Formats: sequence, C-alpha cells, structure tokens
Amino acid sequence: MIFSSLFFLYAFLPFFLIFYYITPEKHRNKTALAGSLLFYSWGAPKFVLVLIISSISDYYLSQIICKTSEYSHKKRKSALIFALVINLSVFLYFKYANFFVGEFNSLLSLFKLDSIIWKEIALPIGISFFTFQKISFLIDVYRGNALKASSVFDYILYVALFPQLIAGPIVRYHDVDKQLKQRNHNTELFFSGVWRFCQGLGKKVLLANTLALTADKVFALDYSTIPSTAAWLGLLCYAFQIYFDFSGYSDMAIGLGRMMGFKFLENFNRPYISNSFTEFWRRWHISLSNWMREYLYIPLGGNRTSKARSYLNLWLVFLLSGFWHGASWNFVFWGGYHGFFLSLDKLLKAKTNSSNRSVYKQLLTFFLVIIGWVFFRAVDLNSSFSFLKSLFSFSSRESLQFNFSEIISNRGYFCLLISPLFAMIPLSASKEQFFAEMRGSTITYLNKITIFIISVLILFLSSCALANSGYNPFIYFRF
Amino acid sequence: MRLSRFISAIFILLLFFPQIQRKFKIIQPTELAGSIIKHKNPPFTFSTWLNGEFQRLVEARFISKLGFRSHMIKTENQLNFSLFRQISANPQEPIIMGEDNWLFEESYIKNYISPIDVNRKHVMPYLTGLKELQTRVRQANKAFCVVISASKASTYPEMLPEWARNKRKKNTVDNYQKSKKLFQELDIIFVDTPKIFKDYRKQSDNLLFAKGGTHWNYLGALLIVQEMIKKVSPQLDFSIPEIILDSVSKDNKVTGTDNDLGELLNLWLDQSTIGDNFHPHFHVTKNHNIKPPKVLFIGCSFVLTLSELLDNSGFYQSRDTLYYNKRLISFPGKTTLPEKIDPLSPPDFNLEELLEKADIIVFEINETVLPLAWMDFVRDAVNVFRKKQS
Repeated sequence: MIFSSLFFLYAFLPFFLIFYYITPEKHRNKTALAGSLLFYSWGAPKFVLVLIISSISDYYLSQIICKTSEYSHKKRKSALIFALVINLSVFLYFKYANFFVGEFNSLLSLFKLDSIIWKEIALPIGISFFTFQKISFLIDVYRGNALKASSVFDYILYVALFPQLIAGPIVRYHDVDKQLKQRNHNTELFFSGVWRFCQGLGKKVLLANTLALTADKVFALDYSTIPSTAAWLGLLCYAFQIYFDFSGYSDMAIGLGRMMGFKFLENFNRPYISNSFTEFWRRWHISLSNWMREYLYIPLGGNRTSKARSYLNLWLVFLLSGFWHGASWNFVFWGGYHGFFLSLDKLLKAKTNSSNRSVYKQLLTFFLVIIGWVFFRAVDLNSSFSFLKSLFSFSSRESLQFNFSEIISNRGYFCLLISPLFAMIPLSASKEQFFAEMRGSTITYLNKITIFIISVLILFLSSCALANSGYNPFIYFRF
Repeated sequence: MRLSRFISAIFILLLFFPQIQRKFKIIQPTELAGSIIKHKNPPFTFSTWLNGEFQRLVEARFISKLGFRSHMIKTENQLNFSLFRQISANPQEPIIMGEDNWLFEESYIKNYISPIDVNRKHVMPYLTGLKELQTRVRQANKAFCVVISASKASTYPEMLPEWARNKRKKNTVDNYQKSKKLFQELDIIFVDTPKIFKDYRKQSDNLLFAKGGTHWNYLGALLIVQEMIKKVSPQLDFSIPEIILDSVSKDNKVTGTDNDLGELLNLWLDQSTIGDNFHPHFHVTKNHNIKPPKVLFIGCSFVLTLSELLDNSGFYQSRDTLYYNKRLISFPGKTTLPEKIDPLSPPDFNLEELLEKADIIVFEINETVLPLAWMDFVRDAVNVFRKKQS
C-alpha cells in the first residue's frame, strides 16, 4: 500500500483517521500502532514479524543501555553493541546478501569455479529507514539524549509509524520521544497536515509520475544510438522526477504525521537552488544527512581530526550513504561522487552562506548534481558511463532524425517546464514560515478556504490520474 | 479554529465520498468503453495473505468498484485531450492520434513503419497447411476464401502523424506484399483488400475507414463482400445472392464499430473523433434459383463488421463466426459477443459441426500479421476433413 494509491486514500486513511480520533487521547498510540502494523503487514506480510521481534529485542536491550546507575558503562556499551550488531546484521542480510553473493559468484567464475547456489532474498519494505531509526534510538538512549521508551508498544510505534516507515523521513528518536508520550492534537495542526499531504500527493502523482514516463523511456533506449538532446531531456526529467517523488512522499509523510499530532522535521528544502554540494546536502534528504552526521561522521571524528582525515571521513560517509541507497556499485560510485565534491567544497572553502548566492554557482551545482543522477538511475556502472557518453556526443544529425514525441508527450513537456517553478524558485518564506503565519490570528478565513480548495483540487486531480492509470481497457478482448 | 475544525471534518468526509457513492449511487455512474478483465472476490487464506495475493486482489477489486471512478477516468482523459491533445489509453494497446484527429491503433502504425519479417522457410509449412485446407474444403463441395483485411494505417497513410509518415523507408517491401506472393504461388484464393481499397481511393473520395474506428466501415466491408462473392461463387454448385450497391450516403452518424477507438478514449466530449461517415445502401438479389448460403467466418474483430453488415440482409441463411478461433457468435442466435467472458474458459464450439454446416468458409487475416494467423484452426480443420475424407 502506498500513500499515492486510491486504496490508501479512500479505504485505509479515512477509516484510520476516524478510529484514531474516536479513540480517547491516552490510547491513541495504540490505535496508531495497530494502524501502522496493519499498513506494514498489508504490503509486507512476511516481514512484519521481523520488524516486531527486532523492535522488542531493541526495547529490552535499551532497558539495560539506559540504566546508568544499575549497570556499568562497560555492560551498557556491550548491550548497545550487541543491539547494533543485531540490527545491522538483519539489515545487511536482507539488503546486501544477494549483492555480496552475486559479487562472490562473479569472482568464482573468474577462476572458473562453481558458483554458490543461492536463492535470492526479498527485501523488506522500508528496512533501510527503520533500521536507521532503531540505531538512532539505541544510540540516543545510550548517550542520554532522549527519554527511554515508556513501553515496548510506544517503541514499536516509533519504529513502525506508518507515515515515515516506508520512505522516511528518518526520524531520530530524540526528535519525537516527547511527542510519543504527549502531543498536541489540534485542528490547526490537522489542517496543516491536510494541506501538506495534498501538496505531496500532487508532486508525486501529477508531476513525478508524468516525468517518470519520459525518464523511463529514455533510460530504456540503446545508449549507443540515443542523441544527446534526448539523453539530456531524459536526465532532466529524472532529476525532477526523483525530487518530486521523494520530496512529495516526505510531504505526505509529514502531513500524515501532523494529522496524528506529530511534528516531523523537514526533509527537503529546495535542494536544486544550492550553491554547493555542502548546501545541497543541507537541503536534500535532510533527515539522512542529519543521521549520517550525528551517528557516523561525528563518531568517526568529524571535523575534529586532521584535514586529510576529515576529508576521508566525509568521503567514507558518502560512500556508505551511496551503498545505503542501493546494493549496487553504481550507488557506491554515486556516493563517492558526492563525497568527492563535498571534500572539494571543504578544500576550496566554498561559502555556503545563502546570502552569497550566485546564479553561476547554482547552475554549476545543479549541473554536477544531475550528472550524479546518471549513476543513481542507470542499471549498473557500465550503463552509467555509456549514458554519460551519450550526454556529450552532440550529434545534430541524430537529434534531427530522432522522434521526440515517442519519448515525451505534451503533458510531459508541460510538467518539465513548470518543474523549476515548484522545485527551484525561492519563495519569500519557507513553507514552514508561511504556514506558521497561517496559524496566527491575522490570517483571514479566505486564506484557509483558498488553501482548502486548492487541497481538494489537488486531491481530485490526483485521484483522476490514479483512477485512469489503473484503467487499461482493451479495444476488444482477444480470448 | 472553528473553520479549521469544519474544514478538517469536510476533508475526512470527502475521503468517504467515493464509498458513499458506491453504496448509494448518489450520482448516476457513467459507462466506460472497452473490455476489461474483472476481478473476482479474493480468497482469504494464510498463504494468499503471506504471498500478497489477497491484498493485491482486494485492492484491485476495491478500485474497480470505487465510486466516481468512471467520472474520474473521463475527467482525466478529457483534461489530457483538451489541454495536451493527448490520448490516455491502455499502454499495451496504445491509440495514436494522427492528422485531423484520426485515430489509429499503434500496432498498425508500427507495422506500417517496420513490417514483420516473413521467413519463407518458416512460413511455408503453415501455408501448405492452409492450401491443404482450401483443397479439402473444395473437395467437400464447399467454398473457401481468405480475406486479407486492410490496415487503416496503410490505407490512409497521409492521415498518420508526421513522425510515422516520415519513418517508413521508401521501397519498403512489407509482409503483406511478401505474403501475397506466397499465396499466389500456392494458388490460395484470397481477397486482396489493401489493393481493392487503394484502387477504390483512386476513383472515389468516400472513406473506407471511419475517423474514430479501427476497422473498415460498412462501405469498406461491402466492397470486400462483393469481391468475396466473386471468389466463392465459382466454387459452389449453386447460385448465391449478389450484393448490389445502390448508393452511398454521407453523414456524421456512427454505426457499428465506426467510433470504437473514439469511444475507447473515454472522454466527456468525444465529438472530435467523429467525422464524415459513409453508409452503403444496397440490396441483395433474390430469386428462386438463388440459395442463401451458410457461412463460417474465422477471424478477429474485422470480421464483426462484415457480419454486422450482412446479418438481416438476407444474403446468407445463417452465419457462424469463430472470433479469435475461440468464441462462437452466430446468426440467427447469439449475434454479439457476450458481455462477460472468462478468459480461461475453453472454446465453446464444435468445429466438426460448424465445418459440416457451412457452405462457405471465410478465413480473415489482417495484413499486419500476414501470413500466419489462426494456424491452430487450420490444423484442426484439416484433421476434421482428413478424417472424413479418408
């Protein structure tokens, strides 16, 4: 079940909201937990037990980790390491076993040895996200940055809360621990959640899905014959597709969280207006970069070591970040590519102060970022380099002969043209500030009504698009 | 605060609207064109839950029955069409819009641009089987005729979108031309519709395909029937009726399958795909020497237009159509395809009885799939005749 599906919108969500709000406030966590486990088991029935059992194990180990007076530092640390090993082992097994076995078999075949017989393991949905959340909990409790979970149910709720379970944002435990115990349910927050959810839905269904049609077609072509104009068109479409897809999903997650009284941190902040890679990672998948900084980069030494070591740490963190995104060498390369430019930023002491903005820096950063997306989108490393080659082949004859209508529709062109409007043009205020203004008494009724009408319009148009995409009639049946 | 509460409540209510519509049908549902596979009630067992089949079927069924679904689909299609001149259609069977809103199935355009290959060595055994069928049918004192149905794309290439017109290489020898040669070599009796249509176009502006349809219109079908009668009459030992074209009228009325592609667009306002339609007015010659035959058609949806044209005209005594060699449609009797068909259900006819009954067997193949189609019918029919004639 995904948020941008008719089943979620018109079956799961309305019933969940009704049950949630008719539940007395002190028991709403239980309703949220039941809904979240139903949500997860609907999509991944085989893995819900993995999630529950590993969460229970985390909780009971955290009872040792948090008790500073009862247990020695050594024992607490051992419990922490043990818990981390369990979580990382589960994560590495499900996410990377297929990859490592595949690579090992390639190595064996080089020496003409028999491959290992291996049945591919299915990847549990959301494992990358909830593993990081669980690690966040364990470390925060160890460090004393967060309150311990008041019950195993509340902890499982933190892990399995459906708005952010599948695709983030990665919610650090210390950001929500207090909200798990006590949060404010009010209609202003609910209304802001509705607006945010609808924005995300529109981004995903109306923009990302349309751009994806072109990106998919281009990346499915033969890279040796595709003209560079088509390659750039496909890459641009992909760049905006991935942004709207991911940020749209985050918007929906944040919106749903608000409907339940949770305030999650922002995950995207117009990353394509960045003047440097450093700024890009403060605007793109903010929850991941926060997590990486707090739980990986800083423990490795961060900036407090020698310059060479800090560059290495940065590069290592991004290599791992790339690998986190996908079990494939092209993702690792993508991570390394970003790590390289981040290190370069540090070396050149690039100014990341947003007041020193420059269109040239913005364009250059955008250009380099989208080149990086080639490695993210292509199937493997070889394909990535082939595609890169096609980007810079520049054959006008091939471009003139190419039929662009086969890869992009008029609607696709329209979406591509308006994408910068929604992705890149700086607003006079951030979304949060704008809505914070909405919550004040100076906001007139008209603004709320306008926003509600726009929300309903987005919901309606998105529903129309979803209904149509699922209706594929045949002219005549042939059986 | 009160406004936010009110708006929030309205939002939750809106999420329930489709379910309320489904239950109480507050607004009359609108029909959607096209054939779809309907979803059964999903069986709930532990294993169907674990492997996700139950969830998938529940979701599919829920969505197929969702209130306002047809309205949403039509709205999306209309927005795409009106704002972007874009057609939303099944990605497995895309519809392409050409000049002046002419509609084409993509598969016909693809064949026009890049025809399928005809490997003589591969196809000859099958065509030899077709020839044997013809021989055995004639030995049984019946008539046999292949009808090569024309593709709209090759008949009206000037109405294709520019990118398609420009893509076909000059001097392309397509599968239709190669197959024709093989048919002539094997002396298989056939009606060459693509040639008939090209010749007709040289002398008349009357359209043989409707703007919004994928098949020949009734005028095109009539020309083919006339040619078919010329081919089969000499094979029979009795006289069959002739079809005389009296006149052709022109209007904007859609008959039969004239706007099947247009309807499949599922628009609110679909008039732009309906253009001039040409309707033949004809009579069937009858006298005491003429015996209306019993005809067996085998083919795809092109055969439906032929059948619809001649049913009730008095040309034949009865007509059986083997649709995709799987479903039987008969006149008189079950003259149209059933609304619901289980794709897994076996064929519902007795071939031996049908072959025995028929005076004329018409075997329709579209030029885009030439030379091989319905070869399983050929194999089975030859076996029936062999058994009878041995």
